[in-house]
Amino acid sequence: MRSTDLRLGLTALGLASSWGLGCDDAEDPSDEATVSTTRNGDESTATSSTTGTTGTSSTSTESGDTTGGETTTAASEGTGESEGSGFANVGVCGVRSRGIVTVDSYDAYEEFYLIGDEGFGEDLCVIRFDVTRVGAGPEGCSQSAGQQDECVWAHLVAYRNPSVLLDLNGACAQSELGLDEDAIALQDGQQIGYGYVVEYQGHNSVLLTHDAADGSWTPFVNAGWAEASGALQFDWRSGFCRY
Amino acid sequence: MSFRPHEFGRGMVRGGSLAVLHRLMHHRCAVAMLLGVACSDSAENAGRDETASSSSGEPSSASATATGGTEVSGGAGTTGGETSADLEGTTGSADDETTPLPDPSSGEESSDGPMASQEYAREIQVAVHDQVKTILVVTWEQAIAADRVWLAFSFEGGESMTSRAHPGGTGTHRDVVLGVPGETEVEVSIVSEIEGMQYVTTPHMGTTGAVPASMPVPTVLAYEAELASPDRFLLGAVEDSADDVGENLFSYLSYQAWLYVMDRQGRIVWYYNDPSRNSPMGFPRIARDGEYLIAEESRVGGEGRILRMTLDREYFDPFDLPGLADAIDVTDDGTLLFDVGRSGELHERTPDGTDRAIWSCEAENLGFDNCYSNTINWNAVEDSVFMSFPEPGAVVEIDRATGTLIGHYGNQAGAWEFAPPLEAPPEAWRFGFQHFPNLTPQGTLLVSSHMPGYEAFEQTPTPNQHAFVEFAIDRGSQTLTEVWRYTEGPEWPRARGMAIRLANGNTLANYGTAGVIREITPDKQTAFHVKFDIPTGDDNYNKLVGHNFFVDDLYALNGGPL
Repeated sequence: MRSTDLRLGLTALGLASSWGLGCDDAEDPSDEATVSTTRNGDESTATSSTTGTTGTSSTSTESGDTTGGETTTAASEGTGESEGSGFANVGVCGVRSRGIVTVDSYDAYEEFYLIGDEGFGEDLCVIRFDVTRVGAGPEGCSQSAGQQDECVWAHLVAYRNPSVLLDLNGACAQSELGLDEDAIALQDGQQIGYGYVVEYQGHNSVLLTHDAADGSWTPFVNAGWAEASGALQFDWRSGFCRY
Repeated sequence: MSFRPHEFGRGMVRGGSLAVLHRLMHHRCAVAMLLGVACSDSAENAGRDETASSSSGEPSSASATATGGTEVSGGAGTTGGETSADLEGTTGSADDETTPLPDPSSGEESSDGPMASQEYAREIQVAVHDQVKTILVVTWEQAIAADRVWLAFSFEGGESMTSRAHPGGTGTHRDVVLGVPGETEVEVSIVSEIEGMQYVTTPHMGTTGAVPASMPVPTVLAYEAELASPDRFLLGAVEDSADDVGENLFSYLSYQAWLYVMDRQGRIVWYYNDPSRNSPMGFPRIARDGEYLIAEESRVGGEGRILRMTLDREYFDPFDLPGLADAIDVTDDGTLLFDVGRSGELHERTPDGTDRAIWSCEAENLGFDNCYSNTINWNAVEDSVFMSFPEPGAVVEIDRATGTLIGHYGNQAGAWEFAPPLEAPPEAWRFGFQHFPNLTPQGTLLVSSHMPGYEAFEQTPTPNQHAFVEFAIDRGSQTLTEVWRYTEGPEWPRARGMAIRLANGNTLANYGTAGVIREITPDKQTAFHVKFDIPTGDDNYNKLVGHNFFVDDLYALNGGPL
């Protein structure tokens, strides 16, 4: 299942798409043809190998108009082993983070995870990386700040010190998350640009990521950041994935 | 008098357990009680605590609830899946109410009542719904055609409830049990009506599944039934905000969002969450052009989506809505009203998918420093739309057809005047990060707003300095005059908050980020008080609640589009 053309310097969304994780956009976790990941509502093919971010547009069967409703239906029905996947169950994959961030520093961790029971169960896999600043964020964040005029900060960060916090029955590797030793090692040391916008749209405050390939900054996930304490948190669900 | 099936049981019979009634199944009165109607025979038993007997002579421990009822011992029921009638499995009591049995066919009261029969509905199966574990799905084969068929069910010895009637042709039928909490044993029978005569099956047992553990749990702090509106259920939205959200306020809207229906005990009887997404979802609506729900998903970066669904998701029709900024409303022809982007542009999307820009905050140029709107509320009487701009403290009313500004209420020069308050403080009215301006049935404007002097978004929470305030609108003099306010609640909504007037004159209000919902009487008593609490940290910040509405008939959310 896991693609061999792993891209470097990716966040979880990059991992999901470039690894071909099959962290679907919830639409039909039992359908191999719809393996894709969603970022900001856009579909990306599961095997995108261009930048590791959202990459190319979807070739999945969903239209966006009709599929969300089948989310849980599909999940429920998908608990049987899907043909060709080798995985019998449906979970939810994602990445969550906590840390302390200032305009000059970024000291956080990110945990790549798999939740069982169609996303309503317990964690089955948690792999943590330290994520720390290695430089200033690439230019251009404030030009993509939604209803605001600027990003309050932007950093170039790197993944380091992976540790497996939880791996029930080998779920990290034996799932569409596909985080085996090689995959973890490949993520170790990767870099990405992060920027933050308070109330990007409405009250939604957003963490943006930088696409090194085209130089664009795009919203990644709603995230909370407290200026006084520097506390940063986010939790990005990349979609259903099988295990 | 006549009854429609879904009305059975509403205030008619309480405490009638189907299992107990099963022991009396050959007794016509027992069947009547199962259906939620009373039987004249039971008049003889009123006020007694006696042992009833079935027609077979088998003793039964059912007793009149007027004397407290007598528990019927028995084994456990089943959990989900196919079940069968379980004579030994439940606890309950018969009812002693003596209202004469209505004859649904004639509309006259009659001593005739439903008959026990297993001939009409066969192969009855009760299963937990795949997606919503609090719903039971009942399937059966209708062996003999009936004019109408429906479910009669009860749980925990409570009042008998019914589903909607539908045509009773022969063949496979499906219906759902709604309104039951998780992990609750339910007794279900199928009623077949032919020429006004009702035939009811023996009770079948099912047990609802568990509500997902990750769902926020409400706490009912007060419920005064005699003060409250008669509606039995509350539909709303809540975010599973983290325990430390009060220390990181911008993290609101980054957690999992849930839609729910709770009963007056705070038990979740229906829920929706998509764990695979990160989609703030806080503004559910009850459709006006059918029997279903509508909710928004404001995904990251302005990629919105609209969900339309029945409770059992037999109807589930989402569609993407790029640019969706915040709240939504719907008209009675199914048109969606929403706003997009930082320009505060009001749009409508008709049922055929046609998008039309109606009005723009930026283009109107009212001098707002920020055109972010937190409310879209349709006024059916005027066919106008209320929008709320919290940063400048302004509410506008737009004529939907023409896009004309027909009202501008708030803090700006040029806005309509506020008449002096009913009492000071405040010395004068101003809006303060207001939310959810809407028209009451009386034609007054109801708004959730920080009090003057405490207007700012970043204001330190201050008890009793938030108001649900009602203004009379004088369109001639362009004046808002206060007619009622509620500041008794100590809670503080940093964001969101809403208040709507109920049919009985009460006000249903919530405090957004404070996680508190109150039903308030006109004299400011609390009739219903619910909290989605974060037990640690600053109590000003709890799990974020969104819009909420009372509902009495859940089947009115399960019919789908007209």
